[in-house]
Amino acid sequence: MEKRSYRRSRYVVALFITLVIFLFGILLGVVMEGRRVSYLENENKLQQLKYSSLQLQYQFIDQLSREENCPALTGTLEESISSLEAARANIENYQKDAMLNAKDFALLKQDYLINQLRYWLLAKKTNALCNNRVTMILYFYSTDAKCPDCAKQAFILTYLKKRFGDSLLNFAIDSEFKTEPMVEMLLAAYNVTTYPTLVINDKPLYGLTENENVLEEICFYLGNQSTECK
Amino acid sequence: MLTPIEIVLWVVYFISLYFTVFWLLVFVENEPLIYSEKKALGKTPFVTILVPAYNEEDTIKRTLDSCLNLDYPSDKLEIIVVNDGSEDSTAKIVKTIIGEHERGKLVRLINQDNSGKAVSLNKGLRLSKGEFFVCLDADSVIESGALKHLLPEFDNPKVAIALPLLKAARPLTLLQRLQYTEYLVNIFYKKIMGYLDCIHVAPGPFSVYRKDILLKVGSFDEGSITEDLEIAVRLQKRGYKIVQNMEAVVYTNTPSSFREFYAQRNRWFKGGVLTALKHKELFFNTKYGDFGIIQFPILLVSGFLSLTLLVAFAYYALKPNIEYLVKMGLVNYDFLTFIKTISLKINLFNLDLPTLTIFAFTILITSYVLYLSFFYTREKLGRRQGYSLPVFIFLYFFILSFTWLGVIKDLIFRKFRW
Repeated sequence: MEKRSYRRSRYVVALFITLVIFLFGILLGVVMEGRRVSYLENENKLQQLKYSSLQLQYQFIDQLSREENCPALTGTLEESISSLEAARANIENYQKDAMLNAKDFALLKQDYLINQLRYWLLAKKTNALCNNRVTMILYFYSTDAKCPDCAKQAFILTYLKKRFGDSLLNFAIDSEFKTEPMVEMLLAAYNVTTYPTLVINDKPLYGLTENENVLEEICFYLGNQSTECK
Repeated sequence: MLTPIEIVLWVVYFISLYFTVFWLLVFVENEPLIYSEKKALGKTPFVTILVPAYNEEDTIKRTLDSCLNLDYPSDKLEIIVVNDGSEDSTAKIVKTIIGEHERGKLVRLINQDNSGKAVSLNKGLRLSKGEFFVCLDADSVIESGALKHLLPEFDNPKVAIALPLLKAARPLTLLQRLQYTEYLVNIFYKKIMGYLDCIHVAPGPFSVYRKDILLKVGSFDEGSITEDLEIAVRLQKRGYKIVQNMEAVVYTNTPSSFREFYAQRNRWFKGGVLTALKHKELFFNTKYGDFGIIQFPILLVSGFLSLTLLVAFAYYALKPNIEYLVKMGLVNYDFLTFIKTISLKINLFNLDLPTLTIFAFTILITSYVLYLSFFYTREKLGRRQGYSLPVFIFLYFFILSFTWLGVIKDLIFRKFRW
């Protein structure tokens, strides 16, 4: 049989077109990543602005004894903490997919973490000032490989947040985030060595805490105030 | 960072897109030729139509009637029915046709113990008098002008097989509608593959063979479960041509149930793998031109692509849902709480644009190929057929992927029979 001919250029052109389509996709991804960074930076600025406003509201209520303004402060605080938590989860996902901006996402994550802790402290003070019965949970987690139960714990907390709404505030802390000294301080303060660990209203619970046990702790604190506990 | 499964998936996207782009380029180069190739029949050579039949009492009459109604001189035509040990009334129906039809004398009935299709074909081949040999499955029906359209394709002495437009007959169920579309896409692809001598299968319904070439290469492989694929590969290997005609129309029955469909595709895919292994020297061998470089490897690559997509589907669609259900167990399956707090807010920043881009291009190109397939096979898109197209685009590949799972299992346990 005589050797059959083939046109090499056709293979090259097909490869070129395929690569162009792929590069177009990757380029869009890179553009999107840049937009994600800008979006999160803007959100972060907004959060800081909100925090300043909340702090001012707190001082106003505290110094002028205007407790009738407590519900407004508590509502805004809860809303900000929830959107902060959603942004934190987004950053972690974006960071996993990052092609060029991994460092930017890491810095943003640190910024958000600091914001979260600020809000946590403010929420504690607001609770005391306004006599709020709001349960606060610090949730220390680690990466999936080191902590197979963390995803389960996060799911339980998400579920309970949906049930209790404003009466429950979750603050997720990535314990691997060693660049932020506050993380080390918190780990030491609550003696956290295993993950997941929950600190429910300053009471640490180590390892995976089942739904019923978290519920019990929340209800112990809330008493009959929440319909979910009746 | 990409996970290993994401890397594999991107490779699959790339290969699939590359193949599609490659064949569309071939189409663009040859598009003006598709309809300008009509040739008139000069002489009328003697033709033998061979109908292998095993338990075909439901369809054999229609098949033979369509053969006898062919627009072709009676003195240049013979029809051989090889009754392959049928246990039903196939033979009786054939005898009735021989006795009653005005051209019934053209039909010869040969009875044999059940030996398989390839044996029947070779027996018919030995007994045939025709210069051209046509294989016709007993569940298919031909249009009267089919032979007159196909024979002029043999003007080129290197042409060994001419293929008709093989369409699915009367699609009723969704599965049949999907196959109907698939057959049209196959015709379109075969037409453009023919320009690079890359057609790798000569389907059972009304493929016309030049008999002397068929005998020269050693007839049909009786050990193969897909003799129509094996002979096509062997002919390509020997440098002969296989061409797709765009005028001769043949209708074939397609499986209506998943069980039948699975059995048919399992045999086809398994036969493809076994043929690929039998002729492995063709893989990426430039000596065989485009057939060795791109088309022959597809026989195996398509299996890899199918299985990878199935794994990806399980990973991306099933795994999170299963995990979610397991997690729901942690909260006593309280779905109501989650339903009550569903948020319809969509954050556009969460979109995975690279994957979406490739996906959009794939859908766009697939839709274009579907349009071309309907256009060049002169089929109109009816309403019901139109409804099945999204299923074809998004789900048909998965249905085929499940068949590949069975193929892998059978190959491991060495189940190679019909």
